[in-house]
Amino acid sequence: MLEYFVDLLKISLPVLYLFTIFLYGLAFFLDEQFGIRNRTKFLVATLIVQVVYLFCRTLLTGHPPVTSVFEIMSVISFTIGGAYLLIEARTHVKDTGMFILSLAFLFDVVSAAFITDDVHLNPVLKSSVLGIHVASAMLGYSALAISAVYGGLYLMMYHEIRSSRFGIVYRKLPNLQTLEKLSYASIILGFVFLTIAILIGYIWLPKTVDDFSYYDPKLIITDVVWVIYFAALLSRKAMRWTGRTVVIVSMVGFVLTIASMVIVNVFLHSFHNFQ
Amino acid sequence: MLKLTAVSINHRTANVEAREKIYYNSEEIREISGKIKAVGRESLIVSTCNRTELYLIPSAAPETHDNLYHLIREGKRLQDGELQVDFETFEGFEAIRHLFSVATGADSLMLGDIQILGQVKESYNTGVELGMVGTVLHHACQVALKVGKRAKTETRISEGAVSVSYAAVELAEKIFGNLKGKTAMLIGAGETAELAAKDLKPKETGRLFVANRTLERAQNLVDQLGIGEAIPLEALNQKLPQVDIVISSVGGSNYILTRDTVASAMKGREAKPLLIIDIGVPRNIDPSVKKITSVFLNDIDSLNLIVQKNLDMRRSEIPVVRRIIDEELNDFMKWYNSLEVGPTIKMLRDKIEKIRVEEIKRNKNRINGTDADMVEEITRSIVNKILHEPLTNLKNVENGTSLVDRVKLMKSLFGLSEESDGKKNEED
Repeated sequence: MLEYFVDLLKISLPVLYLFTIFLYGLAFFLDEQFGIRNRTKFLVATLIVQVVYLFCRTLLTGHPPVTSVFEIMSVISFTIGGAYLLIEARTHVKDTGMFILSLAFLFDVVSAAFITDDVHLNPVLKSSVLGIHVASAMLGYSALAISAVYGGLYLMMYHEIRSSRFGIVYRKLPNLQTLEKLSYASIILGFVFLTIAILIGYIWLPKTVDDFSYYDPKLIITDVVWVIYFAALLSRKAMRWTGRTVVIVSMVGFVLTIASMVIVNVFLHSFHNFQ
Repeated sequence: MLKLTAVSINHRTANVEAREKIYYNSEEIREISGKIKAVGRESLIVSTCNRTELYLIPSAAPETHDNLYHLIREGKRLQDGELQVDFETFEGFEAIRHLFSVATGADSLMLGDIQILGQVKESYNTGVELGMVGTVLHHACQVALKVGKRAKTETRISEGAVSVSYAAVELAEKIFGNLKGKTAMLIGAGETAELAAKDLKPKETGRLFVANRTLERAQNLVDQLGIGEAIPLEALNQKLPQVDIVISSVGGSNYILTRDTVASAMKGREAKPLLIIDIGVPRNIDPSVKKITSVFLNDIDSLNLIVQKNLDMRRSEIPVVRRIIDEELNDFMKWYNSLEVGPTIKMLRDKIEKIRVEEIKRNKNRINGTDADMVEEITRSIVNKILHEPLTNLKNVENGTSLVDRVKLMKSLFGLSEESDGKKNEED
């Protein structure tokens, strides 16, 4: 029974995300009142369904949904949606929802297509430290993803003004200053959460995992990503980078992050795999 | 039918000179209010730089449009032949529709003008203060303000800059967000520079440099604006690294700012964006400046394009605004027609009660003294029971037929039609 319910939620979520994006799109492109009035309500509803899905999935499999790349994608999809909702509530900028939530949808739809109901329970997953480690990592990656989307929107707006097109991008997107601030604030948040996740990992994993190695590809690649962001943040301060440079760094950082995640999970062997 | 008459002298019927002559300030409205109230049970004057309109519900015989037009002229003490302009006329609910349309800015010279809503509110307040506005126009004005607000929030009719100087400010805001504290530089001290500076001033920009070939002219503009610092054109390169927004509009065939000058200034700006708006014709700024990272160079064509796109967008919103007006007008008509119900019910009750009392009186001798109270009670009960259903149906808004038709039928069936006209006079 629970299995059917989890499957039903799994199939419903991409549809719900798609409809929410459609409402944000209606508001963005057509200023349609139905979209304007209901977009945030549908996003909240979608996120509630996603919480129920993740909870039920945990009950069904007996472990939190962090043991495979597709389970992690589902959690990242949720944290992107949730983080966007917080940003929207705080800044009242609603016209970027369509773009950010498309990313959440992408993660969710890939997750829904390939996720499997593995009920094997690795003892490592029983640890309470895991919750903080994983939550920090997920929030960190989500914030970096959001930063990259805001960076992309910044570049769209930048070129729109420089090429004197003044179309819908000019009319609807927030100003460059706001987009840069959102992108930069998201990098800072992402970096902080990623740092917490790495620190916990380095303290906790050697005591918990038998085949722990500092030369594990997943650890190395995560450290490299961290160093890149750290260097970028230092350079921004030292070289007073602003505007376009900051958002390009953010986007490059995110592409590297995703590429490393995929390479490590798909092609390389790592102890950091609890299936 | 609503006995409302309106005349409108506006940007479609009169040129700016004529509109200036016919403009009423609140003191002038006060002066003419006595004369208007003498002929109108309710009235309202809406007067702005683009329109003067008089709405009037006559006290007795309907007023002709010419009479209203002459009233407006009389208030401005215009001699015969001094001002002969066309005017638009509206009757009944069409006048209300026009008032709603005015409040949305859809009828404005500058389509979607946001100031008009405040001006309608001011006209309404003046009307209330002078005792000109009664039940009907009070409600009409309240709904007009609501329609104006709905148009502003639910449509894009007031969005985007529709003047070149404001398009420049909007462009700056799209780059810098808040312009507070940003340093601006005007190159040239002509009319365009002055307009741009006036639009920038409310944004609380920081320092303002006015560079001009003739320093005296730059100083004059600074004095006129009450802010800024006049600098000679030669000092322009030296100040450029400090500046965030440049608006250039000088004559001459040579570029005032070359690519090298701007590139050199950008080195001192730590990659902070620089907006250069070149309004000059021929252009004042080397177009290749656009290739420098973080420099946004836009010319007069760019600003015209922004204005054109915003106007197109505002025009595309007119059908949506009309739909809002229709919705609210429909509700207004229902409200107005419902005003007929109360007096009709009262008249019907009075008429039946009169019949009841007269019949008892006529048969007084046949009723024993002890039965009188009982007869009184029984006849009252019969009257109430007979009237209950028709009166309930009359008031029922869900009924298929319109309220106006039902009221008319009721009046016709019970012979109430002529007496009912007293109702509206009770509102005075």
